[in-house]
Amino acid sequence: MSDEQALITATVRRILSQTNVRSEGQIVVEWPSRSWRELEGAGLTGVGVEEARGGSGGSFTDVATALFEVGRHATLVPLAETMLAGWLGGRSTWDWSGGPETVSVGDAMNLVVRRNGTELQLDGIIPAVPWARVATRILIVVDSEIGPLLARLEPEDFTIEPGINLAGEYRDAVVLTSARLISDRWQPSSATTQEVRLRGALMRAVSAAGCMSSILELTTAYAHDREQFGRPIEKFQAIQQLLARLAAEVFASSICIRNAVTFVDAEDGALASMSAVVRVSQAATNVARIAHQIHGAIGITEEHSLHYFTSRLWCWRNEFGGETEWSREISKYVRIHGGVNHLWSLMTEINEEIS
Amino acid sequence: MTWPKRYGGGEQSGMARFVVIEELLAAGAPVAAHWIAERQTGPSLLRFGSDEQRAKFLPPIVRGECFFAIGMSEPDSGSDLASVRTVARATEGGWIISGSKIWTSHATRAHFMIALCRSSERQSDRHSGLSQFIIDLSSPDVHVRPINLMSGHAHFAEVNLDSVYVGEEMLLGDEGSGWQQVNAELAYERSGPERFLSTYPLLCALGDVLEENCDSFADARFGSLVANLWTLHSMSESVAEQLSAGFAPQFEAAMVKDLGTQFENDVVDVASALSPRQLLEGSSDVFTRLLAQSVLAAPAFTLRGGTTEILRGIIAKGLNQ
Ligand SMILES: Cc1cc2nc3c(=O)[nH]c(=O)nc-3n(C[C@H](O)[C@H](O)[C@H](O)COP(=O)(O)OP(=O)(O)OC[C@H]3O[C@@H](n4cnc5c(N)ncnc54)[C@H](O)[C@@H]3O)c2cc1C
Repeated sequence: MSDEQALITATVRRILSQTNVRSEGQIVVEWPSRSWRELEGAGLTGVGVEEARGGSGGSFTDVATALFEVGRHATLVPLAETMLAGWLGGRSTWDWSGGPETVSVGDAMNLVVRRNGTELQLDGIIPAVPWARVATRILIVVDSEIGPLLARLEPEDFTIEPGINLAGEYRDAVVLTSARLISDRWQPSSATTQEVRLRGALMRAVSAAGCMSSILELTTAYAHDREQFGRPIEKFQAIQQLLARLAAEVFASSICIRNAVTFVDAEDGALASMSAVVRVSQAATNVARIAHQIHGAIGITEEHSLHYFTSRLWCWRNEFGGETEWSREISKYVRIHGGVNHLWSLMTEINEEIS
Repeated sequence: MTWPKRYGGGEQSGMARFVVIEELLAAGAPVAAHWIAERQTGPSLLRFGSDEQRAKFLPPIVRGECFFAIGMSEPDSGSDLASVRTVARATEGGWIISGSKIWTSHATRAHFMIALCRSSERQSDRHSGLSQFIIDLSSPDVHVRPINLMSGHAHFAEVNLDSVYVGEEMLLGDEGSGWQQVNAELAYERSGPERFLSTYPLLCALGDVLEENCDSFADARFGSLVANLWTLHSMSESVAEQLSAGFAPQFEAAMVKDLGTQFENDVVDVASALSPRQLLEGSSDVFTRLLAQSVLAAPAFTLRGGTTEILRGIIAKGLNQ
């Protein structure tokens, strides 16, 4: 870890350990939450956004460092969304708003896009947009007959149907009724819808890996402390097997994340990202299952903190496309890039370039 | 259904009951409150209870007016049930019971609880000296504190017994035979169709979703779930036949519960992989709602009624015999 990343980790940890709000009841009464205000004050909400646009600068590795901590603390803040929007906005001619911003990928089933001269008209309902109700703007990427378009929605353009996921995070439906965007509110997008989804999915995977590291800590500590049959349950072989599987899932996730983050902007980086998303998504399922099993009945109660982490894994594993969608995309990718005969070089040559 | 007519029962076969409860569960019927009394309290009373207890409790259970809770687990006694610390001290005409039970399902709604207590000092055989008592949950010395699940629902509760007096007629079975009685109860608790059908409504909803949007991969995974379902249904039926014939097939029951609860989890995982959704609370879409509910409920499947690890221990011991 570089000095820069060590500093980000330390700062986010300090802020979140003092201000962390995890449950949904509390944020309804308080927005912006204290965690958000302090992250903002420390310049962390602008990490990854160029300084020229009003951000704090920094690489995707810095972004990932912060997002890992957000997962590790199970914090309710739209940081990933703001950072994704910061990256997407950086490929446009627009300024950064300072956040919170959010991103959604429109699909033709939900969203009808018409062009009237220089104006863009949007109709439809975009389901489950993360944090839409508190966002100062929503960036939408949508395919059109002239290629992918990037549109900037501001609160007066839409209405909200509030929704909330199992982790207590806002996932609102955004309703667009003949929303008209004048020409400076939309432009051709240099990122495809697929690229935006993949980056979003990777960011979720990074936070999920943060959740998993907390789960591993909680679970090994619990197995050490809880006694049955006169000894700590960690002494039973059955529990040792579960702990070993848990640790291996967490390790596998952290390795493939590290790989994907390193190659995120490399020309052939997509395979690493897609593989990380699929593997972390599988690990999310396994880790949540094993951790709950070891915790026994107390782990499924509201009072115990385990569910803050496991409910995030259950929700995040499917956002921006989950295991199945990205598995299919991997197959397609391999087919397009010379088929299975070239698979080995797809995986290895990218590594050689860097090392 | 199976109980004697003089208590309001139907004197039907165990298999007839199996068919009915399987249908109820497959239809997703709301059966929770009455479930424990019908499944295990009644059979326990019939086997170990006094005439007086049977006459008092069975008819109101049959009428659906009297619910029971299971008072086995304690804060420090989960899998290791024989280590319970709730004590019953003999007193003039009855017993004084003190201690604390936890994870007691539906204790806030139930009228009575059967509590496993230590009724004499612990000897070298840790399974001796345990007894079961029927406790009236409305007694003033019983304090029930609901415990919220991570879904926010108060499914179970902590039940504090603060020197609760129970008359000697409320001892269930023989003093000191609590351990044998509890184990007999667990055979009923472990093999029924509720151990593989918890997520059946989700499986059906998945089938509907896939009808509109399927491919060979989805077909393969859905088909494999169906094959498992069929297998479990047959296994559970065969255990029911044995129970009905008067045997206590505890190893087979443990295997049904182990495989059944793995299957219940597999349904959730496959549904989530084949038709990924944002897990929104209270969604108006049936599949999304069932998926979100099942995801939160699933961790309990492999814990309640004996954890997977404990069941596998039982199965392994069975192989050694
Ligand atoms: C939804 C739900 C409803 C319930 N309802 C009731 C109820 O109505 N009445 C009631 O009395 N109880 C009830 N329970 C409690 C249930 O019986 C206990 O959760 C269960 O027996 C496990 O105990 P525990 O939770 O204390 O876990 P622990 O026993 O502490 O176990 C923790 C972990 O250690 C493992 N472990 C423990 N001992 C061993 C060993 N020897 N070898 C290998 N692994 C071991 C377990 O498998 C588990 O993974 C309910 C539980 C749930 C989840």
